[in-house]
Amino acid sequence: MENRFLLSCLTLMLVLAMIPSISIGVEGSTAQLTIYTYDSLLADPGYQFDRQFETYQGLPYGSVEVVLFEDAASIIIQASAEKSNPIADVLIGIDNILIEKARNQDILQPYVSTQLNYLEDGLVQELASDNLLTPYDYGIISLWYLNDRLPSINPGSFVLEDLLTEELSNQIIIQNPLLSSPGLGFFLWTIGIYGDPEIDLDGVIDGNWREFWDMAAENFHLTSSWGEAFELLYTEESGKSIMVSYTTSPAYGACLYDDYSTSALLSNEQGNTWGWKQIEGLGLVKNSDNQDLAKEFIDWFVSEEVQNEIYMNQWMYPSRSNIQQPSCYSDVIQPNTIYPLNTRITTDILESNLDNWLSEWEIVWVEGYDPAFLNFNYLLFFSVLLILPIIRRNIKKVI
Amino acid sequence: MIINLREITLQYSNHILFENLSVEFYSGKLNTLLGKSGIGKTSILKIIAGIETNYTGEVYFDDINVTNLSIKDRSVGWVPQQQLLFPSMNVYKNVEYGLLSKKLSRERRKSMILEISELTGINHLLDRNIEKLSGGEKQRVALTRSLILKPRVLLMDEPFSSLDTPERKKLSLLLKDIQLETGITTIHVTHSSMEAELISDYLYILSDQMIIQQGSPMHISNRPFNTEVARIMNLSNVITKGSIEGILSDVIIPTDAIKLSQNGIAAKVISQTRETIHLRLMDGTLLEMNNNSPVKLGELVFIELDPDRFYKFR
Amino acid sequence: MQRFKFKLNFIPVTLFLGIFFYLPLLFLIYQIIISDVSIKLLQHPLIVRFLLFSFTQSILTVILSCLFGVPTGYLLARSKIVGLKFFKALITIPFIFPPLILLLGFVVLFRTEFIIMGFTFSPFSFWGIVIAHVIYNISVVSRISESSFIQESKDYHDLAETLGISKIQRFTTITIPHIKSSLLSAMILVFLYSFNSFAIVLLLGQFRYQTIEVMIFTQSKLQLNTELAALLAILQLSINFTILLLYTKVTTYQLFDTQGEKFKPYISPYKAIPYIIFIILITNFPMFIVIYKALMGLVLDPQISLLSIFNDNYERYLGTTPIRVVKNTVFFGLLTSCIILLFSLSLLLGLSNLTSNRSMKFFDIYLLLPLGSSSIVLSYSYVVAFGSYSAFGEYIWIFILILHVLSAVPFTMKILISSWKRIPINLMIMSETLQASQLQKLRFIIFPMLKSSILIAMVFSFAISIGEFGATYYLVRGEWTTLSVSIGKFFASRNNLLPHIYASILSIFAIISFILIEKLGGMELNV
Repeated sequence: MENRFLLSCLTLMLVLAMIPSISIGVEGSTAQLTIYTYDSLLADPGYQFDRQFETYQGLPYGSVEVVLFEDAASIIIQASAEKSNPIADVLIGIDNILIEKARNQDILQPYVSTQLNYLEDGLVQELASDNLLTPYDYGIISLWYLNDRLPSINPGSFVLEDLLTEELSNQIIIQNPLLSSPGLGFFLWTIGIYGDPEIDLDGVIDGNWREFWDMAAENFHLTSSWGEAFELLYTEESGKSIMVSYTTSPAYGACLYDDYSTSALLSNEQGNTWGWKQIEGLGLVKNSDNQDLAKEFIDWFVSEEVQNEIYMNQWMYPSRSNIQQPSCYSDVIQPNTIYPLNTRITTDILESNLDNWLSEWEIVWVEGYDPAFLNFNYLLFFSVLLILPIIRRNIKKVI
Repeated sequence: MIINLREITLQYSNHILFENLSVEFYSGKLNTLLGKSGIGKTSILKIIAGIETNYTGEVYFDDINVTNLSIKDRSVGWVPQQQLLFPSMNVYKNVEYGLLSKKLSRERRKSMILEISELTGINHLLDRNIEKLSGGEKQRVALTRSLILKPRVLLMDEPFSSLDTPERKKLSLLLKDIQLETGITTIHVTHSSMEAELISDYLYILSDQMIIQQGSPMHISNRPFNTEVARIMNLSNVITKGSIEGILSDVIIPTDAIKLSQNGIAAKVISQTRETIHLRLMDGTLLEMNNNSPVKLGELVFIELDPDRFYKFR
Repeated sequence: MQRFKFKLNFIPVTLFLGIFFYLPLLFLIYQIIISDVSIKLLQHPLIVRFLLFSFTQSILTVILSCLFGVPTGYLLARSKIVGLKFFKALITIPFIFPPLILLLGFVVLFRTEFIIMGFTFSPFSFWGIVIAHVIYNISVVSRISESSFIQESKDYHDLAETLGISKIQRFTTITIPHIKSSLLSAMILVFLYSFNSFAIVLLLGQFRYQTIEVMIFTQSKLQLNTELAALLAILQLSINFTILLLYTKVTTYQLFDTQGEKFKPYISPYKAIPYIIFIILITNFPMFIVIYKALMGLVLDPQISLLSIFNDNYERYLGTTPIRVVKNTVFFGLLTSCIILLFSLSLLLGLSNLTSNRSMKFFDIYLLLPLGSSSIVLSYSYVVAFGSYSAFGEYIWIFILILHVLSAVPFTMKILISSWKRIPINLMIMSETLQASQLQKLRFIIFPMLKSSILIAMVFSFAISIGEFGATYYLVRGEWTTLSVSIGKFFASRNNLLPHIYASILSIFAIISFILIEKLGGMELNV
């Protein structure tokens, strides 16, 4: 009796569990090419590069498997965990900052693409002179705001210091530089503008990035990803109207919905317009199984076929130089009018300082904020006093 | 202090424990309420203490109606069956517990505790932990705790039921001694007739929702009202009518009214002690007789009974 | 011979926990040893500060939960309320609820309604975290203290009253010592919960506030600082285990005689009900508001809201289709239940041979320690132990499943062992004298008596699995996303319908599980 009950219970549960599992398909992959990338690559409105590449190569459906991660850093983590037995063949989405981590983890293998000559001047040098990555797009980190909520802003004379005013400081959403690449870009932007006297790095103006962030920590709202910031920006109740994004962000509304209600904002210290340039690249995984197909994929990814999709699906600038800019991009700040701060914070400076900067940023961010709990540490003190006699009495019994 | 319960009716949902029960307990005596388990002996104590309030009827202490008096104004000492000592306190603190409500100096409290524990013989235990005490010691502590406030009446609810026989006897006698010493009116509840006979001044036999007999232990064992009383008193050879041939009413056959003979009623010897022989008749009835003639265990003997000496119930 | 047999019976359970719990942790410790990390890493000012934060918020949570929970438990135990069962159920529900629902509702509530009322309380703050923890834990404290109050012996109070002891003195000398040990165990549970809190602190703390769990997550997953992460994991484990050992000690001594007469409810419902309803409002509001939002969406725009679950536009964001997310959740939930059933049986097989308490003690600890492991520590140790194998990535769902099982294991064991302890030991000894085999004992004595406990454990594991956030969030990629993780991903979007629909689906699952558990005889929160 009990046995029958038991068995029927177990079978019922297993059958129930099978229903979703059949429709899910719990089998391993049979892909010929495995790609790791972040989840927003060419995603909006959407260009299915995996299917397109299969068509281009004449491969059967499903030969290319794309594994999506929340952000580029996770790609590197996953790839380095699998270093001894790589699963991925290509990593897409590592930028000019993260490349240092990838280099340290030794997960990539240099590849000189056949298309390099067609790419914009200097991009390859700026991203990876050793060809560890091939650049496929770039963008300028900027602030991005809703026009109707901030009518008083004058983009022509805006400087970073303005963010600390009472009017603006409560309106700003930034992304965590430890977790998000636009967030990191904004962080480097502030370092480029204010400089770091501790390592004798001159900023555009005299100052110290720590002082800026000390003030910013009070009021800026921090999110962990661009997507989260975006949702928050469009939640009216949150009362936020500026977030860190790219100069190309206004083009999204303009091109898709004929919507010109948002604008990008760069800072204009000392009469120049400054911004941080982010270059994203894709690279070949070291010791991967499908090297040949992976190389062809990289070449294809910077070919005209894919590069033509960058403006309208990735909302960045394509790395290939002869791509026609869509007309809806006309209001977007053109990259050649911007002084990239990358020239002030060079790869060498980055390499030797980034880790320190980030951990210092974390301290400034956490400690710059008035921590409620420290005010209540007297409460902690009293509660310990309260509990102490109980603990002491019980400790005898325990021991 | 005379304690008088008048027309008490106590009922739990649909189960009636007592109906119109009236009883008077004697002042300055050790009164014992004897009856089987589960017939509401404890409830009577709780009514006297004021703990049980869901009853109709009245309670008088020396002609004063205390029915509506709160527990703490009644001045009763309560010794519950499971002692209910505080495991987190030592013996001294447990005894001192009753003094918490009084504003007394520490020295005064100490001298009171020493005095009372002298009486109950626990002064060597005062700094012990409760877990380390034996059952008898625990009971003494509970008794001491209830006596510390010098209550007008001491209520003891099966105090010794969890103890082994020698310890039980010892403590019963201690209780009697204390009662004699202090003259406190005591109501003692038990299901053990041995304990009841040993120490009681007055016995109250509780059965079937009422007190069926009361009086001195001697009187009750000599003149039990009916077979029920006789059984509660654990008397020997209580025979219901017809169970032995020729016995036509309920009787008690005194042990010395049974003699061995050449022929008569056949019986088998199943046990033999220094004083008595236990016999089993053919129909299973057990009898007890004085051990005054040599028999062997398992031997078949014949007995004859002396009907003139039978105790007949009225 | 006796010892050998004893071990044999425990092999299934020991093996399961050994491979999936102890082994990964050993790997973690091994990694620390070989990597020559300095303990000085822990002296980083932020880590010190975050630790201080963790302790402060946990202690505040404990204090506030008790402040609200103990009176609730008292009223539940002592007041004459019609429909007490219903109120008890409402107070218990948050305990079984996925934390993500609570979090979502909490944020929605304070983002909109309160700003309108002129209040400026931000849930993204220290007090936001503490209050979210308190809301969740009031139910634990209430129910544990309730059962303790119910057990309190009235006889002690009567006795004290004959001695003239006042009500306040009776409270301090009888009631407090009586509830002390169960209250202490409730406090330890609440402390462990908030000290190990992941989802609430991650999503409300904005990285300004981090528990060790969140630190391990950010260090290992986001900043690639694996050495520090491993060190933190060890720190977390040792703190938890210390607290747990304390817990077992605290709960083993039962002070007061709980035999005898108990209190009958006497507090008038007019006094009790307002407070109880107040507590129910506080603890259930997040759930109500989430369901309300989803219903409003359905009423205002039924097409969009129904379609959103089949809408593939979310695919990029979720990593898979919205409907698949629901399927995944059910899949994990049901499989977790199945494995818990097998686990329960093998646990009982082991227990069937235990008749002495001494041998039980070791297994109490061996079996209890998984309670002290947090999902993030375990997930991280899985990556350390198994991450280099390609199967780990390919069959990640198996590992997620196992982590779901492991997070249900402590509760399962508490449920089973507590009802196992209620089997009269003489019955087992008697069956042994009749020469019953272990399997016969299991089949004829233990299993029939524990059948409903096993079912409760299965349903409860289902509820835990569907609500599980930490481990899934840590390990999952794309296709295996579950409802909880999706809600976490959508967390910032408070004007979006899908998370509310997801949360409502989760709520329905949780409520069904809860009703099932109640029907099967209910569950004690403290064991």
